[in-house]
Amino acid sequence: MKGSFRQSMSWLHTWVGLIAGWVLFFVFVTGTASYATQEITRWMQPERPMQGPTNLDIKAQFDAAYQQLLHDPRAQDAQSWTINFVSDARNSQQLSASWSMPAAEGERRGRTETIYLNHQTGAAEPLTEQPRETAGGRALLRMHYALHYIPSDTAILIVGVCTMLMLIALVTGVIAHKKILQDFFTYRPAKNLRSWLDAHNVVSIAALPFFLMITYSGLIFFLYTYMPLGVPFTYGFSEQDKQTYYQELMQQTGSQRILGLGGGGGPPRQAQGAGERPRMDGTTPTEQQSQRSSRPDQSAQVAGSERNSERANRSGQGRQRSGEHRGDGTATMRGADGLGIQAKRFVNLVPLLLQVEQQWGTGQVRSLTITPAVRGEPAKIQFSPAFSETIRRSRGAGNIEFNAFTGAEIKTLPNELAAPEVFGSSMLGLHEGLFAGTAVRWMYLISGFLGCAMIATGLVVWTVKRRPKLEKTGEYRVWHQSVERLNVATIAGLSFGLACYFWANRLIPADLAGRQQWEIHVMFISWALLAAFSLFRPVMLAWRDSLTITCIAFLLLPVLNALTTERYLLKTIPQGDWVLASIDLVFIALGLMFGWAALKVRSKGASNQRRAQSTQAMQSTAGGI
Amino acid sequence: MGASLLLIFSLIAALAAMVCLSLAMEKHYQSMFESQLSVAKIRMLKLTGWLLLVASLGLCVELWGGVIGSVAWVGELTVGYVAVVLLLAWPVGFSRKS
Repeated sequence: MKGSFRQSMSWLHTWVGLIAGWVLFFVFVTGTASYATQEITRWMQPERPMQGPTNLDIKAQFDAAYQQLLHDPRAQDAQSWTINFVSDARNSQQLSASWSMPAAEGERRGRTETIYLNHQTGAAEPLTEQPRETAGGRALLRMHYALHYIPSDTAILIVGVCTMLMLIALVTGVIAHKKILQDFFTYRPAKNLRSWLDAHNVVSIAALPFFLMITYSGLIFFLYTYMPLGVPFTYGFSEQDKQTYYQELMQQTGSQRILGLGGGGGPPRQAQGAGERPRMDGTTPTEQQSQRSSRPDQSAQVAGSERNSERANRSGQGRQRSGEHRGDGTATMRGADGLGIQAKRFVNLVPLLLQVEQQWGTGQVRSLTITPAVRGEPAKIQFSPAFSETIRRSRGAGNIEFNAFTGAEIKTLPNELAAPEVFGSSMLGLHEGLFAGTAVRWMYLISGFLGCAMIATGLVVWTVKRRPKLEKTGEYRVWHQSVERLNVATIAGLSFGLACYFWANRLIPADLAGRQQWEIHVMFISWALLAAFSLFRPVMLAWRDSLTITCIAFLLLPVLNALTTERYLLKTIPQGDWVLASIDLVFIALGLMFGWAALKVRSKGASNQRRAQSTQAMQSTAGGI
Repeated sequence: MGASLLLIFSLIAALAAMVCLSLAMEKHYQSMFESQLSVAKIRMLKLTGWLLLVASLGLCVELWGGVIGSVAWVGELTVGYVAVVLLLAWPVGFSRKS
């Protein structure tokens, strides 16, 4: 490290980027896919119904679904009833009625059962097959911060260190970029190193605000893990001291959910089961969601059940504040009439529904949830909007709640939030992007994809820049070659593994026990195989072949889908289920991209060969003369 | 104005803004047009570019509200920027010499 400030920064950028690059590529690929967690899970459960627009108005939808809840004997003693309307919300073009049972002894949460209704007729549509168990989008979501096959504590630390390095790489990268303004829009193709540098610069500038936000906020998620001594040094080291800290934090900031401390709020619960970890260690709510939806009965309507539990959490919080302890579901239900009996005393709910719809607009009522009267609190009906007005991670915000016996609106005063809480929850909200509708979600996906491209091009620049010099001095040896091979193994290998993850979903028998785990194993096994294959090939051939294989793997996915399911493009597009169709279309786009890259490598390899031959010929002619 | 129209217009504005700002630079202007880039033209293009940026922000805020709108706007800038870079690098420009 020597020379000017800019040179030092450039040095730092180079080496920090190289060290963290491979892990970050994995984090970015899986993290980008996580912006489509629910959509990917739905693709991976082709037994679930297709979604589409509806002709039924909201009243007709309500009547159809509410009748199911009123008359289904299984729903009478439920802890809550939920109706999901066909709405503009994400993954929400499916009319359904569902109910959650109280948690049984030793369980954290009761079962949720769902009846799907035809969104043209409103008639119940029993599923012909149970949705297959799948690792789904949530496995990718979890991997992007907890990796796989290693303890999650260790993994979170590894990812954290790499994230910090990435933040350094981003800032130093901007400083090291000499002509950031002059070359702002410049990409010069077919100029070898120059082109790679241009590409790296351009994709990095393209979504720079996103990259800064995502790295910085990524660190906030696990701030107590990365800065473990702050709280103990002020409050003490015992578990009780920790609780005191969280209590104070909540009172002073008005926080409903403490940073990195999942759940709907309230002081952190004690670990309830042997395998259960307390939440304050940085396990994120997203992970909670994924654990929640890992049960097959719930993953069937992921979106809906997530919302339900959020609400359950929120109402739990209310009770907590009034000094009562939140019991498990069984205790809450004890001594009260079942929901089915209480429903006979409800006011007519339709006017409430229409009032809310008028306030929010057509297609903007996402769902309603009815909870029975418990412990002096009346039965409630709560409406959730299909849109979000805040980026903050504040679930349940914007809901409207009524007393189901009287029809009176229950107003809850919003908490006064302290500025740090607003900032913190906004950063987390921005990272997760749960507020994003279709258009913004696509922008998130594009930005994430550009992040993958930034890391990949950066890694390639490192090798392309050094190789000619090293070859000249005869120092092109194992160290440099292993970086080149690791690049192929990571960039093409992981992409191939990801494609195989989806192949596994379709090819592993739907009733195989533990098939979720096998889907993930297949991903890593195929990645390892392709990596091993490319380690023993000359680097250009390794690139060409592994990119070609990846291209084929992605391009054939929609074909495989058509052969094995009823949810392929020719069915999904006419039905108007664009969410499901777009997954197949993205596979095709990725396949074409890898194919294009493979062709580029091929022509590059050919031209290199020609150059080598002509140099050789010249040398031999020169020797002849 | 419908939501999807607002979205389309704000995206077009973001894209057009990027086009103007890039053409305000000598080398990109030269790659597209035969004529010379005068100081007046530069001023014109820059002004239009910035106005279009503001317009696209305004449309985003109209559509999504201030907070989410500004997030969406940054996303639109990303999309517009990438599109313009690809457009400029495309092998056949309007008057590409080579």
